[in-house]
Amino acid sequence: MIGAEDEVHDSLSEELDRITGNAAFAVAEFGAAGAAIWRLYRDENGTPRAEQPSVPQSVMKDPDAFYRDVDPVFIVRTSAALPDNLFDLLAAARGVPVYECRKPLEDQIRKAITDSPLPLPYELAVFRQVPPGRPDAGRLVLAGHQIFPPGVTHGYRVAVRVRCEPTDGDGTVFAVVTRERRPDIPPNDQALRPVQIQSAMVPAGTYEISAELARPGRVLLHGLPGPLSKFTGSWDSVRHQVPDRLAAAEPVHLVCLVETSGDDDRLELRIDRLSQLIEEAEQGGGELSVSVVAYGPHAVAWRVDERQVAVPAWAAQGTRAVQELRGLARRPRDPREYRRAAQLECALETVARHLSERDGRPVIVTAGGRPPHPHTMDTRTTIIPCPERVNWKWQADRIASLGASFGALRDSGARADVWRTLGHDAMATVDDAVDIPDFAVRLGLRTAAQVVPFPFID
Amino acid sequence: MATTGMGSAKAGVPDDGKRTYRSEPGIAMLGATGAGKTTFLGALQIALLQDERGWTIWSKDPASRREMIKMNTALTSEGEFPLPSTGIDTFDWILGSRRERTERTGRLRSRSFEESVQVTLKLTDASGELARSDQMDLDDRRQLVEQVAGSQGILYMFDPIREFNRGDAYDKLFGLLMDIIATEAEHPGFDGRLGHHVAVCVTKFDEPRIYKTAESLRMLVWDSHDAAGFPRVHDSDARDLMHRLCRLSRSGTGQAVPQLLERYFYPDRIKYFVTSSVGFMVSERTQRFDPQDTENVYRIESGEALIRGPVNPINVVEPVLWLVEQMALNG
Ligand SMILES: Nc1nc2c(ncn2[C@@H]2O[C@H](COP(=O)(O)OP(=O)(O)OP(=O)(O)O)[C@@H](O)[C@H]2O)c(=O)[nH]1
Ligand SMILES: [Mg+2]
Repeated sequence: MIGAEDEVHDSLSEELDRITGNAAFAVAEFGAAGAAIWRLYRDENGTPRAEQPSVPQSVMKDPDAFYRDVDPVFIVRTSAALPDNLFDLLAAARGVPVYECRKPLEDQIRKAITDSPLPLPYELAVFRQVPPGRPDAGRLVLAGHQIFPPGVTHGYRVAVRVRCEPTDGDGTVFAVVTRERRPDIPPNDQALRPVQIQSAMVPAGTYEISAELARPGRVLLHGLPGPLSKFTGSWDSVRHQVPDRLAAAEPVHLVCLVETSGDDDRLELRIDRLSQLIEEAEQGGGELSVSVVAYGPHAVAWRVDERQVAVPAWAAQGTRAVQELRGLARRPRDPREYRRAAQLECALETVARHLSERDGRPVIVTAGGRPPHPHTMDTRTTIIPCPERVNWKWQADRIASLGASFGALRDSGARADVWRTLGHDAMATVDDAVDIPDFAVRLGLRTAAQVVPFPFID
Repeated sequence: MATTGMGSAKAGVPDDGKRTYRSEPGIAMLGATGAGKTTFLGALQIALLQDERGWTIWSKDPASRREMIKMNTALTSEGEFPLPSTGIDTFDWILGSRRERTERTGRLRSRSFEESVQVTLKLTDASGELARSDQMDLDDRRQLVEQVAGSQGILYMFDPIREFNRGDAYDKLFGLLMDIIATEAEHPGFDGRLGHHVAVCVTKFDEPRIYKTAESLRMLVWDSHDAAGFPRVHDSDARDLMHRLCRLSRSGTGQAVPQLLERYFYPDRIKYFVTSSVGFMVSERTQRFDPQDTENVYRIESGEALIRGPVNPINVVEPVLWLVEQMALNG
């Protein structure tokens, strides 16, 4: 038996090309164990499908009925020995080609479907925001963003830049869709039909992903930070979760307390980390205001001038705050400063006094190392008390009562109790690498109180 | 009085109604490294100036004079402490004062005259390092032992903070006493005890742990005339306070220090004082003592200790004058 695999492949491809709409065709395999009939058609997305229809025994025994009802485009014979009825059918072949192959027909069909070009463009289901200036500016529209043009075949790759918003729920849905082309409906209103729906828990941010056509009906997405899994919900339910517009994320007031004592390298580290955090928080999408509060030790000696807690930026824009932070690196220093504490208690008091609900939920992040001055004589530490008798615990409680979260970027050696309180929601040591996105998430700087199921294309 | 050992005191001949009393007692300072010996000496000058009894201090010896001025400027102008001592320093300082004296001239008659008093202090300030027993054979140590043996008075500086942290006062004192006794025992008539007058100074009273301990024992007393409101511990409570502080010591042997002193010296020649060379912190704003912020010392970035405010020595003149008086009385 000479293999006729190539002819079978070509023939399948030609037939697949030919069918559109509800059209279908059948092929048959005759083997030692009997016959297998395959019906090939395209689904609503144009994806070729193959199924085995049930054919009554009577049809398989009656050549007339077989060539009329099954009407195979060709027959593949995979065995020399055949059941008697199949010999009878072959004998009455009436011009239907018979190929003798070793390869099972099923494999041949699979290969032909994989190799077939896309009849319709594939699109990624994305959100677009109605641009400013239009009557319904800011409204979210679920749209298709074309990733594959018609005619491309498996292995085709394309890069897409998507932005994911923070979302509640099951993460971001990556759905490949086709569009129902109806000339009577404007393209934006044409219904999207899912080809493949997956989802992933993705931190908010912009991602460069690449989409690869594995075969018609199957698209691989590379470049997301988390694994994709099969989406368990239905297309209709997710499609109806589309919010009308992005809820302004809860306004947040990020207050950065930075200890300016210690050596220059350490101060620079603190400034760097805080700046990174501010930049990260700015990506949060919500309304953000940032304050910078700088503090060093109290002047504990008559010969040293007291330097008050400084507030170079209050409820300012992120960029302004970063600028002011950077400016702190050049502050002058008195070699006669106290070394065992810093006026962290007075910095907290300053924050508590200035905070207002208007500026958003407070997020207090302290970058420092020294303990605060105690409010009274402390014989355990013998640290000189605060001249204003400010109690850091009371101030921290006052701030906490406003719904604040607390993050600490402390020196590795800092052990005082205060750091446990100030690092209540997120704690890292400045000397080590800090996972700033994670730090921001733990402080609620990057979350939304809304389900935003699809990625954005800007 | 003899020229050796017990110093000398002479009264000038009365002529124009003025007399001069001179005495040259030797006083040695003992105490562990960092106990505050040298600071005490520097504070003595300041304390004398502030003292109402009108004592003056000066020196004929240029080296002693230079040291005196250096210590004074460091403490008052710079707020700096002396560097740790190395070896042994001896200072010849003269304490001067005037006193009213009444002298009987007949069976019923007496007359008063003003007497000028000059006491030459030979002060020995040795590095606390010399009290270490592994220093036993070094020349400096031998010299220290001789100087102590040759003095009539001892200022023993006991630093409770060092006792908290190290707890080695007893061991060091014991070693040193043994050496001194070995020297003294060569004198005929030695009865097993040393004849010195000993002023035991519990130092650094301004330090919070010491202050709080005294407070908790209700030992603090206030002088209503004191403008800044500084508390003190009465001398009669000083030994108890020291005992209490020693209970907190790391090794626990600190408690035995008074017993050791009282065994090898005559107990009636020992007196306890609670002192602070730099005194209490005075608030710059209120100009007053603040019971929540007592310590007048702080540490800067480099690790160096500095003085925070003005220096108002507490009980610095008293032990010295007590020694001078005792030595004069006992000749
Ligand atoms: N709080 C407090 N600290 C003091 C006082 N006096 C001295 N100190 C501290 O004790 C340290 C040592 O004082 P010194 O006077 O150098 O001690 P010393 O006994 O001469 O030490 P050596 O010369 O090394 O044996 C000073 O640097 C201060 O930090 C005091 O009155 N109060
Ligand atoms: Mg010294």
